[in-house]
Amino acid sequence: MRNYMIRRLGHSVFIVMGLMAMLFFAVNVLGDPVELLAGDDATQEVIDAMREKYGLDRPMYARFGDFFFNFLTGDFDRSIRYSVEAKSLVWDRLPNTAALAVVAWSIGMLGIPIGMLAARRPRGLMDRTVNILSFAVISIPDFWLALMMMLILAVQFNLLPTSGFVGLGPDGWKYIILPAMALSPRVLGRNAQITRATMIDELGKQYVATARSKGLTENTVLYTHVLKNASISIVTLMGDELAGFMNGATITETIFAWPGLGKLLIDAINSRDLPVVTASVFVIALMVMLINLMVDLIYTWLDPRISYG
Amino acid sequence: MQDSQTVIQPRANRIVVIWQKPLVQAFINDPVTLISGAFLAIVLVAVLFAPWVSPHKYQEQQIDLRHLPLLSSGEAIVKDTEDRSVTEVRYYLLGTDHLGRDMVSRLIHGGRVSVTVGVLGVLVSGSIGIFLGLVAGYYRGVVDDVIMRVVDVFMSVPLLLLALMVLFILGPSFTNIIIVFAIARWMLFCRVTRGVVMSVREQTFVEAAKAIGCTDQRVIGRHIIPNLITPVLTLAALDVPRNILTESALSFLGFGIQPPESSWGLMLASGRQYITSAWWIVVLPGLAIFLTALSFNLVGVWLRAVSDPLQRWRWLKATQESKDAGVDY
Repeated sequence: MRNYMIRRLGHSVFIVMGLMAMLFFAVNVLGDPVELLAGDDATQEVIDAMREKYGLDRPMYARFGDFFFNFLTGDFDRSIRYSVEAKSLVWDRLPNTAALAVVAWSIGMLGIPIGMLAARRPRGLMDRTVNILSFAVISIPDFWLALMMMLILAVQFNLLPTSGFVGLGPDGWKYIILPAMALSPRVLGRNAQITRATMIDELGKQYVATARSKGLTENTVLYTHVLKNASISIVTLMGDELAGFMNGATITETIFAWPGLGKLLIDAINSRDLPVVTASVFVIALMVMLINLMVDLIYTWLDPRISYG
Repeated sequence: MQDSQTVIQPRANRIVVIWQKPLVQAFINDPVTLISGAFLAIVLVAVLFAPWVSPHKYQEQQIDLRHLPLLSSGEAIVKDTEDRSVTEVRYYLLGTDHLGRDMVSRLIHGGRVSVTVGVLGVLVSGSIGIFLGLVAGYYRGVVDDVIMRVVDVFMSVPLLLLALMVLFILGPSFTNIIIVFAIARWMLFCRVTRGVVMSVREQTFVEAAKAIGCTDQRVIGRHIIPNLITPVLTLAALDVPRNILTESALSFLGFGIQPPESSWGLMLASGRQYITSAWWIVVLPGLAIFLTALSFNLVGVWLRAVSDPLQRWRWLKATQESKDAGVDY
């Protein structure tokens, strides 16, 4: 088990390092960091001054060394826009995104029982309905859904505040509902699809026939035999989906002015704040890595047949 | 003299033969898939022939006719042949936007960009992914290891994040969005292709082909690629809506298509501030994205189901007789 953990951790560290190397390569080789910082209409003097100020006149390998050393020590320079450490900006925003993720995922968990219901009779009425509805909810553009919810629930009926943030305390719950509701349908749809597909797959296997021929009730077969085996695939696939959560969060946070990581990244890109962009990409990659690591551990715990060797 | 056993049957009409294939029958007998397919056909025709199908010029502004609701008409000011300003009564099926431009024409032209981006993105990323997957799965060894490690790195980045980074560095444009999809979406095609190749190359017919001295190119071209068509086609059908949705999100955030060009996402973004006074400017492009993505998804999932030997019988039930008769798919 220990060997397995070490190997798995090494793999994750490799992925994050590879990603950061890619980011450095993209910024410094495909683009020019000074141009990214200064914008299109900067004069040559401004560009030269900037080049010197941020140490961009040094050779590439020296900067690459610095870049890697900095991110290993968790130091990302100061934000150009806010003149505070980029690191602290990112750590401040992280809990807000996490809170949004938790609420949206709790709603999205409803997809699991829905998917199970659908799998009971493949191609039956329930299954067809769930199938179409689940594809409908993942085909909705999330920013459009966010706008529609804002228009109907906040503007027309005045039930909830349109956007904003008052902290994660007890007063804040009203503000998290709309963004979480805009994010959850996709999660819900994906969860239902994953559960349905995995259960149907599992139902075709021979141990199901054995269990049925023993005279077990359909419910016992479904909930104790099939669900247990299906849960392994469900957890893995759901981990992948959780990693993709930042896609929706970026847009939803921007629309609802929710001060999370996604909005920070968009704002940083818009104001050409390179240190903050780097820091947020790093933290998001780190989060995705941790989620995948956790999924893998749950996976080995659920399925004792997987060897740790 | 004619033997009664050898009555020459008239050759069946080609169209009738195709029509009677179980797969075609299954497509037609499933109402949801049929409707999705029909809707996609309409969208594709509309965007392919956009200049001829749209009732008005999509960039022509009529400031006096701004915010016209659905099913309304108005007097547009146009130049006649001798360059004089004259009025012309026009009918606006889906109203006009905040600059008095016809919504129908704008939706058709916006769709042109959105659908092109979606399809072109899949073609480019699919080609890259299939090529790398073939190399990795067929030759294995170090090449395989390297490619799969790169896949792992790319897979761990959320799509939108990668897209934003690339567009941040390269600047927003139509071509760069295609580049984004090429960079961000090849991994799935690579993984699927590699999986298929690895399972096929162990089978006897590949071994036999190699034994009689087929070159690698021939084995790949004749024996492996045909097995790839269905899984890759399914993946492609499911990836087009993903690209369309991502493009619309990027354009909405201002990192995608730039005006004066237009896409559904950009239409939505530019109409955002008029949402309370003229809802159709925001609702209609969103609906267009939704219905197109949904149709692609439903057709894709149907393709996946009928190509899965464990599931296919449920979809082909209606044509059980033809299956018994041994008709090929």
